Amino acid sequence: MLFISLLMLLLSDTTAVATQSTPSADSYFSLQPDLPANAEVDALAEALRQAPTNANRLKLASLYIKGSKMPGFGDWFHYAESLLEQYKAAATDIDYVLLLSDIKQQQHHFTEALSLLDKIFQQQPQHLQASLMAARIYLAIAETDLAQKACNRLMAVDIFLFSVCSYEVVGRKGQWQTAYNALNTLYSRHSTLDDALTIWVRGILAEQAEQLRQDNVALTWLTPILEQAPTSLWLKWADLSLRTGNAALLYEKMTSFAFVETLEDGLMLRLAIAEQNLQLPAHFQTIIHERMALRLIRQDQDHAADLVHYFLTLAPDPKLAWHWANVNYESAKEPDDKKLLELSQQALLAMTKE
Amino acid sequence: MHLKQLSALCFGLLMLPSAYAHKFSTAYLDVSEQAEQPVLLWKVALHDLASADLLGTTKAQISWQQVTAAHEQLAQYVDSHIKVKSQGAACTLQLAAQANWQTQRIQQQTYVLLPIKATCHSKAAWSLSYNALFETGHSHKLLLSWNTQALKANAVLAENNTVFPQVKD
Repeated sequence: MLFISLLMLLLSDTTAVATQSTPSADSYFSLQPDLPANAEVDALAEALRQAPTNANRLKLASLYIKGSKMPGFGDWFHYAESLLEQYKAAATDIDYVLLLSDIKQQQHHFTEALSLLDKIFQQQPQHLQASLMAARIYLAIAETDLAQKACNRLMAVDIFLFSVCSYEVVGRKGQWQTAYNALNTLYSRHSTLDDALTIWVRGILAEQAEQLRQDNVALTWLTPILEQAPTSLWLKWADLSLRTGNAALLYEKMTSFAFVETLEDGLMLRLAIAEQNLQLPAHFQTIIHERMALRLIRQDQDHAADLVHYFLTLAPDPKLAWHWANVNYESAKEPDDKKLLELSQQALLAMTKE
Repeated sequence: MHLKQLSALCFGLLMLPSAYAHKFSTAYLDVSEQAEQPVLLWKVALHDLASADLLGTTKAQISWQQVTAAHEQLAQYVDSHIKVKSQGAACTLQLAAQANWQTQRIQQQTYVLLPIKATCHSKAAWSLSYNALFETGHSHKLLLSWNTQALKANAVLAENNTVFPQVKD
């Protein structure tokens, strides 16, 4: 019944004659959002037009991927993908393989991503970025021993990175308190880390504090870095904020984004939940209903965590939540994915008891 | 390589999970019937047409004049990527003149609505083959609304499922 009503909502949106118009010749349309680093992108895009070399493609693709991880700029991921498709070089070129592997892991194509990283390890067994990415992927599929092996590649190269990588794995193995204490101590001894590393370490500490049921502490790890944080940490911050009764702050922060209506589904969903909690008129709720309806109609299986959240909160349906939680867990096994499985199972049990 | 070099190189590349979906590319095709011939209305995102290099610009903004100037290129693209058949014989497709094009906002994106007229030798057993934008649109899919006298149905066409109605073995 819910699905039918969502379908009707979506179809009425696409068939509404009133929303169709014939523009004048001088009307302008935006093809892509701007990034804060737009000048850098523009300069590189111009350089690529002047000299369509692999080196320029790679630089621009790298910048697009970096940008795509920020809230509202997901489209840039596809520009990177498109650029890499035009890349004509040996498949063993390390920078190219690394970018391709990152794209694959972002799409949750973990086996392909790991296979690409193996090509790098054949050339450079202790390659820093490849090692960290391998560890990240193994954590995503809950292969903690293999994640530790990936961290171990860093031992002789950079002890700080090896330690952070290992403490994250220790936490994922269930020793949350040990890992948190050790990483907290390590972090306090490195006060001059640059932004990127600070964000990485604080993100891990936030997850560990959350697992220790210290939501407010977790928030304090994230709040100072929020403005520079990628979407994944905004999602974590949003979930913590909703759980600790800070819907108003979430609403205020997210509606201040310049491109609020192009936010990724996960962030839009949290914003819509905040809107609902604050009993505001449904605007973002309408947007997310349409987006989720489209996902269902398209029969997409990727990144199903958004659908689980949706059916647990805005459109409660324990059966669908349970279904999508299982679909999601087939590809991603992070603590948040496991938690979604547990929450939907609880919702299903509660429903059958009624 | 140590910390500063590493972070300068790779903030965008590693370490953080990406538990969020990227946007998917979706087009819509309404198939109806007029004077015993199929009539198509292809709704496609301007962004997707630009990604397929069909609008002649890679800039962030495009004018409607630039969009309509791409008529010939779009007509060729339609002709080579969308096929309508009748009893197995190919129908000819003609993209409407620019004066009949419109725009529509669908899910926070600007779509262009392109009417396409088909001419078939027979009014029986129409079928559609769709191969547009799969190479350049991220997980591109077509939401098909088929509304002719002989058949009323909705379907989702994707890279691994490009024909409607599907022929059963």
